[in-house]
Amino acid sequence: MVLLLVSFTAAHLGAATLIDILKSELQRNYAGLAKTDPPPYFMDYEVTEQVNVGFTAALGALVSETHSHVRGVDTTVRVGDYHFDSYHPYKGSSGNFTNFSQLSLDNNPNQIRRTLWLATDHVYRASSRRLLQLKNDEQLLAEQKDVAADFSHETPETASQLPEPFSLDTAAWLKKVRAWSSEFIKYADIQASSVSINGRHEVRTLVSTEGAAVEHGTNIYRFEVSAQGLTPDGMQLSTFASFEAADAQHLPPDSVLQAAVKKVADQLSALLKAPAAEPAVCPAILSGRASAVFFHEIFGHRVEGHRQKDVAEGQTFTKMLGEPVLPSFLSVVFDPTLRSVNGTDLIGRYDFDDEGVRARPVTVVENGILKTFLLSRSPVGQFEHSNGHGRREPGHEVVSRQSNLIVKSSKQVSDRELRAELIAEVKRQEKPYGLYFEEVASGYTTTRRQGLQAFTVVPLVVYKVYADGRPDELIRGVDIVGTPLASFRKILATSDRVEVFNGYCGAESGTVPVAAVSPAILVSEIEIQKKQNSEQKLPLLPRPSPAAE
Amino acid sequence: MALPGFRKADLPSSRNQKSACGAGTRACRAGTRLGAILIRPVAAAMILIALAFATPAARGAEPDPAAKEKLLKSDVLFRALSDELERSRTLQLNGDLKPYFISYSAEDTYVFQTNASLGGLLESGLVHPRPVTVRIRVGDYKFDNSNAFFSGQLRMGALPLDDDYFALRTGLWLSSDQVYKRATEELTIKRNILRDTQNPEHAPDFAPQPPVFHLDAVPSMQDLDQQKWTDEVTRLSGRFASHPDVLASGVAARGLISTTRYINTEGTVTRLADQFADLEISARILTAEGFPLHDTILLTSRRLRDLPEESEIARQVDQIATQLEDLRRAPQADDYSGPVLFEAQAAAGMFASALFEALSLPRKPVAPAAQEAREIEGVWSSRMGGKVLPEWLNVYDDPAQSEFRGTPLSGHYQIDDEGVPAQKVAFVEHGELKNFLLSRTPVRDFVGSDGHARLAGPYGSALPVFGNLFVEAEHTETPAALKAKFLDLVKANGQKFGIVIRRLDFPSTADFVEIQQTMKQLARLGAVHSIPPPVLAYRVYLDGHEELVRGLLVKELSARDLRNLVAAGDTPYVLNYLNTGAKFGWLNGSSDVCLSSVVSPAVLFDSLDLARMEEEGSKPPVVPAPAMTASATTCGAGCQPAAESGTGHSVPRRPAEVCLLQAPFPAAWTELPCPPSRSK
Repeated sequence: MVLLLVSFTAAHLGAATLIDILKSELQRNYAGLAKTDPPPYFMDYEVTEQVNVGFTAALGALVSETHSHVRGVDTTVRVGDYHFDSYHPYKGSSGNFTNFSQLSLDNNPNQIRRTLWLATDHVYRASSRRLLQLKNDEQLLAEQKDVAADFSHETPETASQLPEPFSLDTAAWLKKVRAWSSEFIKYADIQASSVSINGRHEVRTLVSTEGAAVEHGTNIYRFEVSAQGLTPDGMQLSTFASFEAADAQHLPPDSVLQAAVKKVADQLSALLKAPAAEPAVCPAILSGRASAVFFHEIFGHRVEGHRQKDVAEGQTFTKMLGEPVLPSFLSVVFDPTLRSVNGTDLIGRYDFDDEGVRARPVTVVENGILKTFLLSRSPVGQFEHSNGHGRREPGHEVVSRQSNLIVKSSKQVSDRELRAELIAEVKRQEKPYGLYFEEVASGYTTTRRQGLQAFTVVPLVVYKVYADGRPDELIRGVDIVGTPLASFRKILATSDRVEVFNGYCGAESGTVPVAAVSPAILVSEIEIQKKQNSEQKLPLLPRPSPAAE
Repeated sequence: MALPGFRKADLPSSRNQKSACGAGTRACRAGTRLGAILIRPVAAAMILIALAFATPAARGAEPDPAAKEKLLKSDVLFRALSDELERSRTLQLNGDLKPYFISYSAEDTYVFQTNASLGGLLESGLVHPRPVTVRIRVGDYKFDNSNAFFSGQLRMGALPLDDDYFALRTGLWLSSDQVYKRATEELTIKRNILRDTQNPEHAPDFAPQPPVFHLDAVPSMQDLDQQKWTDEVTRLSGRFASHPDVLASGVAARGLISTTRYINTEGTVTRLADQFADLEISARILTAEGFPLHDTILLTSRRLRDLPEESEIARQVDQIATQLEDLRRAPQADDYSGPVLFEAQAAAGMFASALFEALSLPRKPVAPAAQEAREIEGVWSSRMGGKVLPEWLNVYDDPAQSEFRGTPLSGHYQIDDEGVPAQKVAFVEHGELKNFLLSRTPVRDFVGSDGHARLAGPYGSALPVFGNLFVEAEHTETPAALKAKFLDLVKANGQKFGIVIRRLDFPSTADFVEIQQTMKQLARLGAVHSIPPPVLAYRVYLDGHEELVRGLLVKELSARDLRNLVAAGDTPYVLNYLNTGAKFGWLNGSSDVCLSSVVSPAVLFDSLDLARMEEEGSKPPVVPAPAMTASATTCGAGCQPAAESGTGHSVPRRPAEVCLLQAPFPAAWTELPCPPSRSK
C-alpha cells in the first residue's frame, strides 16, 4: 500500500518565515509580560519538526509502518534573574513548565502566534508561581554553600545549518525488510523477531530574547534486527543488532545487513541452548561496544553538570576536579561535532544544543584527571558557561546530557594480546575462567543519593574464556553489577581498536540520541549476577509449520 | 471493538496528557488540549455497518460447507484464523482444562485523519492497524473462567499487515497460547475464591449460540481523496480567524474503513464491513472571569464524501464560534426548580444517558470477600414487568433500521461482536418494562443474547449497548402546543420563566479535569444519577421570549424521573453518536467505541431540579491575544468568506443526512516502542 508522504520541503522553504513569526511573537509576549510582577528576564521558543518514516517486518510480512510529520514548540520563560530564577534546583527538582504544543506545518502565522501566546501564558504563570514559592522556601532553609547561578550569560548565536533533505528509498527498503525478516522462519525456537528500517529527519529552530536565532537539525537512519526467545526454564532472552547513519547511503551494504540478521538469529538460537550463568567474580574483557555502554552508564551520567548541583544526587565526582578519577592511561572526550568514527556515523552529533549554544568537543578527563563537567546554561561551581551539552527531547526541560562519548587510551594492545592478558590474569587469580562480553543491549544507573550508587549493564552475548585452553563457551542470563568508583580502578588495559555504540539515552530531559566510542577493556574483576527469570512456560503447541498452507 | 493507538510521530505530547492517561495505556485518549490539537486515535471497527452489497447469508444454520471452503480458499486471513482456531482446540494444560469455546476477531482497518487549526495544517495521514481479539473459555457454559474479578484482561494482539499465511498463524499461535494460559489461571483463581465466598449469580457463565455464516464484501478506500480533505479541513479551520475572541479552535476529519473477520468454535463465521467518517469542529472561549467554555460539533456519515458541502460545514464553523461568543456574554444561571423542556439533541442525549444506565444489567463478578462490588444497580434492575414510564411511551431498539424518515441511522448493524444477529428488542411497551440489553453473558434469569454485544465489557464479557434506540410517544404535541403547555406549567408554578435545554454535552466532550469537576459538583449536590451538563439552555419567559444562560447542571435525573414526563413533541430528532458505553457517554472514557443512534421527541418534565455550576476559572492571559492575519481566512471554491456568512446568501445545503452531536477535541498520544538499545 502506498501511503501519503507529506511534503516537508515546503516547510523548509518557509523556514525563514517561521523564524520571523517566532521572533515577533517572542518580542510581543516579552514586552507584554515586562509589565507584570515578577517579569520574565529571559524567554525562548524551540520548535522541533520531525518527519518519521519506518517499516517493521517479521517472518517475511510487514507488521507495522510509521509515516508522520509533526511540528511543535517548547517554551522557556525565566522569571527572576540570572543568579536566582524560577528554574532554581530545589529539593531535588527544577522547574518543569514546558508544554509541548503542536504547530502548523505550513507556517500559518495565526495558528503559530496563537499557540505561542497560549503556551507562553501557561509557562509564565507556572514559572512565576514557582519563583515566589522558591523565595519563600529559601528563607526557611539554611543558606546553601557554593550556590552557583541559575543561568549563564552566553553570546547569542545566529545560524542556519539545515540537514540534508530526508531521503529513503521506501519501496526498496520495504522489499528488503520483508525478505530479510523471513530468515527467522528457519528458526522454530525463536518466538518473536523483527527487522526494521526507520528514518527521522529533524529540524530545530530556536529564538531567544537575548537575540539567538538558530536553525539546525539531523537525519538518523536506523536499521535494526531483534529477536526474542524463551528457554525451557522460563528465561527470556533476546539478541539484536542495529546500524545507524546520518545518510541512508552510509548504512552498510546489503550483504552486511543481511549477515547481521542471520547472526542475530544464530546467536539467539545458540543462547537458548547455552548453559545459564552462575554468579561469579572474575577478570573479563568488555568488547568495544560493551565498554562504550559501560562508560556511558558508570562514567557519563556522573559528569552531567546538573547532578553536581542537586543535593539529592550522589555527587560522585563533584569535589574531584583536578583529581584522578580514571586510570592515568584513559581520557574521555564528549564531542558532539564528530560525525563518524571508522566509517560509522555517530548519532550523538549536533551543531547546537537545545539552548542554542554551539556544540564543541569537551575533554572531561585527561590522562585520568577530571577537568570539567558536561554543562548546559546552568553554571556549576567555577564553570560559569555552557559547553554545549544542554539537551532535551521535545516536551521536557533542558538538562546537561551526553553527546558522543569518546574513550581514548594510551595503553593499547592488540585484541590478541588483550586476550592473552585476560588469560594471564585468570591464572594469576587462580580462577577457572574469565568472561568476554561481546554484545550488550542497554544499561541503567542510579546516581541519586537515595538508594545504592550502582549500575547494571545488560549483556546479550557473553562467553566464558577458560584458562586451560578449552574453547570459549557461550553462557546466557548474565547481568553485570557493580559500583562506579570501584569499577574504574579495575581497568588494566585496552585494545587498540575502537567500536561504536549508537543508542538512545533516557533521563530527566527525555530520550536523546547518543553515541559512545571505546576500545575493548580488560578489567581485573567483574561481578555478574543471574538474570531474572520470567517463570513463563514455553508455548504448549509447536509453532505452526511454515509448509502447512 | 478496541481502539488502536494512532501511530503518531514520536514527538511527545504534554506531560499533562500523560498524567491524565496513566502509564501503560495502550491507546489512551488524553484530555482536551487546546491550541495543540492532535489527531484522535481511531476506532478499529466502529460498528457493523453492513454495506448495500453485503452477501445475503443464511442465519442460524451451519454454514454451507461449500461456501465455507470457497471463503477459506479466497481469504488468506480467514484461512489462517480457521486453521489456527482448529489447532487451538487442542490446547491443554492440566487434565480437564481444555478450551470449550474459542473466538478470534481480526480487524483490518484503514483510517485517514487530518487536522488543522486557524488555517494551519497540523497533521494528515493514513494508518492501518490490524488488531486481533482472542477469547478462550475453559470449563463449560455453566461454569468457566469468565465473570470473576480477575477475568478477561488479556485478549488483544496485533496481526501482520500483509496477508501472509504463516506470519498470521504464528501471531495467532502466540496470542492463543497466552490467552489460554491466562484462562486456566483465571478458572483456578475463580474456584479458589468460591471456596470462601458465595457466587453472587446462579445463572450460567455463557449462553450457547447457534452458528451464523455471513459475509460482507471487503470495502476499499480507493475513492478517498486525501488531499481534498486535507485542504478542506485546513480551509475550514481558517474561518475561526474571523473570531479572535475564540481562544483555541480546530477542525479535524477522519475517514475509516474496516473489515472484521470473526470465527468461533461453535461454527460462526462472519466478515463484516464497516465504514465511518466524521468531521469535528471544536472551539473554546474564556468568560470575562477566565472560566473556559467549550463546544464541539461532530458531523458523521458513512463516507467522507457523504459529508455536507464545504459551504454548509463553513456555516456550522461560524455558528459554533458565534454561539460561544453568545454564551460568553450570557448570564450565569441560578438554581432552578420547575418545568424543564428538553428539545432536539438535548432530549435524545438525555434519553441515551438515562436509558442506557437503566436498561443495562451488569452481572456481579465472583470476587474476593474484601473486594467491594463496583457495579451500581440500575434504577430499573428489579422493575421487570413494572410501570416505569408514562403509558403513552414506548422504548425499543431496532438495529435493522438503516434510516429514519430519510436520515441515516448510524446505529444500524446486522451482527454483534459475539456473532449474534441483531434483534429488535422492545424494552418498554405502554410504560411497562419488558426487556434489558443482553449479551451472551447471562444475568440472573436473563439467559441468551438479544444481539447487542457491541463493546468490550468487564470480566471477560461483552458490553451490550444500543443500536438504534427509539423513544416513541403515542400522544404528541406540535412545537407550539408543547411550548404553550410548558409555559402553562411555568405560570401555574408561579414562576417568571421556565428552562428549555436544547443541547447537552452528550456524548461528553469534557477532558479529564472537567469531567472530574462535574462529578465532584454533582456529588456535593447529593446526586446519585444524573445526565451530562447542558451546553445550550434558555430561560423562556411567559411572553415567550428567550434568554441564553450558561453554567447549568441537572441535579438528579435517572430513568425513574421519566415517569414525570407530561408531554412529548411530534418531531423526532435523530442523534447519531460515538458510543463508548461510559457514563455521560464520555468520549475520553474508553478506547472501545461503536456507533449508536437515538430517535426521540422533545419531552416536557413538570418539575426538575437544576443547579448553578460553580465556575472555577483561572485568569485570562496576561498579554493580549496576537492579531489575526487577514489573508489567512482563505476560502475555497463554493465556500463563502466568513464575514459574509449569515447575511442572507443562499448556501446549498445537503439533505438531513448529517446529524449534529458533540465530540471531544481530538487528542491522543501513543508511545512508540523503545528501541532495544535504549540506555539510561
